[in-house]
Amino acid sequence: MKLRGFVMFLLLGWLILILQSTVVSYITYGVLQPELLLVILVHGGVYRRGADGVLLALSYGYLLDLFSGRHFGTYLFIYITLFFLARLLSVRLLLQTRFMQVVLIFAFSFLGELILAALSRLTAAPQGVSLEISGMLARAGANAVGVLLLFPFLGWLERRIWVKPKTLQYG
Amino acid sequence: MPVLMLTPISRPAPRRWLRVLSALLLIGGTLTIFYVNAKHPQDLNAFDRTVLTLSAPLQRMATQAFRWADGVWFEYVALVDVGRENTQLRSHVQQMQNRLNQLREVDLENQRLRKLLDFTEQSGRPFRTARVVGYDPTSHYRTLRIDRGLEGGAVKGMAVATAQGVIGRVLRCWSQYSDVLLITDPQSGVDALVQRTRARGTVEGMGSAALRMKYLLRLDEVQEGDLVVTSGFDSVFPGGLLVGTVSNLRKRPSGVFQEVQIVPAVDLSRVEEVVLLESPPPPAAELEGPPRPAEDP
Repeated sequence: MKLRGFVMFLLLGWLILILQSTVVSYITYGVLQPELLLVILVHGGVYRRGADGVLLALSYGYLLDLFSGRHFGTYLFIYITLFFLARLLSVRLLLQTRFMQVVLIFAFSFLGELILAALSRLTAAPQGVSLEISGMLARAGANAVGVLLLFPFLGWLERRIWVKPKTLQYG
Repeated sequence: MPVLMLTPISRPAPRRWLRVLSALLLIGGTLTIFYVNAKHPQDLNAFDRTVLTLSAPLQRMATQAFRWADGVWFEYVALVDVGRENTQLRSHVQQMQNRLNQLREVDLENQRLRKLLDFTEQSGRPFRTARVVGYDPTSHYRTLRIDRGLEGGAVKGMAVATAQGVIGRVLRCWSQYSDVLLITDPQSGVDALVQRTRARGTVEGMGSAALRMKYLLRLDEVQEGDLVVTSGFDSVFPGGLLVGTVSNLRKRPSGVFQEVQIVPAVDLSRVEEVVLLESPPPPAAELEGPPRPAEDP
C-alpha cells in the first residue's frame, strides 16, 4: 500500500512536470508560472514522515533537474533541503487553515528562489538566475496560488491511496 | 473535510539524532552532486535518457492536445463573442452613420442659410425667413406651406424667394403658417426681363414644372439659354431676382408678341428654406401704370 502510494505520487509529480512544461507554460506564457511540483513537495514534507517522502523529494528534484537543463543536482539539493525544512516546521505550524498553507508555500518558494540564486552565484553558472527580489516574490506568489489548486486534491488523493501515517491523525 | 491535527511526536533520542544526521548527509550529498556537476558537467546517463524518452511523447501529446483545445476555443467558442461584438459594432456604425448624415444636413442647411443671408442683404429689403413644412399634396407643386404666419410678420402678397431665385408669393396666411403660391401656378404672374436684352414681359405658370413668358415683342431678341430676371416693376419682387432660363422659343408667323418657355431657376420640389421679402414702396413708373398690351390675338 505504501509502495502504491509512492508510485502514484511519483507518477503524479512526473505528469505535473509534463503539464507544467507544456500546458501551463502556454497558458501563462512563461510569466509567473506556478511551480506545482514544489507545492507537492512541501505538501509531502508537511504530511509525510516516512522514508518514502524523502525518496519522493529526491525523485522530484531529479526530474526537475532533467527537465530544467540546469546543472544536475541543483533542484536535487534545493528540494531535499526544502523537504526537510518543511518536515521540521510541520509540527510547529498550525497548518489546518488554507491561509497558513498559502503562507507556507509562499515562504518556501521564496526560500527556494534564494537558494537557487545563491547556487548560481556560487558556481558562476552562465544561466544564473536574476537576483531581482520583486521577481522572486512574484514567482513565490504564483506558487502560493497553486496551493489553492493542488492542496485539496492532494489531501483527497492521500486519504484514498496513501497509508495514513501513524504520526498524523485525521479528525 | 477532515481536520488535520498535528501533534509533536516524542521519539527516543538516538533515533531522532539518526534522522537529523541522515537529513544532513542527504543535503550535503546533493550539494556535493550539484557542485561536482557544476564544475564538471556530466552527460546524460542511460537512466536519464530513458526518463526523458518516456517523457517526450507525453509532452508532445499534451502540447498537441492543448493546441487543439486552444484552436477550438479561439476558432469556435470565442466566435460567439465575436458575433456579439460584430452586432454591437454594426449598431455603432449605424449610429455613427446617422449622426454623420445629421451633420451633413446641418452643414447643407448652414450653406443654404448663408446664401440666403447674402441674398437678403443684397436685396436691401426687410425680410423674414421661413422653413417649408409641407408641399402641395398633388404632384404639380403649385403651393408650399411655410412655418411663418401672421404672428411672424407674414403678409398676403409678400414675395417669396431663395438665394437661387423666385419661388412665388404669399397666397394666404394665418397665425403661424402661410401658403405660398408658386410661380408655376397658372394664376401666378411675375413682371420680368430677359437679362441680356432687357426685353420685358410677364412670366406665368403653366400648371407644370415649366413657365412661360408672355407679352414679349416679336422684335425682341431672345434665345435659348437667356436668363430671365424680375423687373422690380410689379411692387412685389425686387428687381434682379432670377426667375429661370429660356428653354424654348415660339415665334408665330404673324402677330405682335412671341412666347418663350422657361425652366425655373429653383427646383420647387426641393425647397427647404425661403425668405419672405417685404414689398417696397411702389416706384414712380409703377404709380403711373406700366403699359400692358392686350393679348396677342
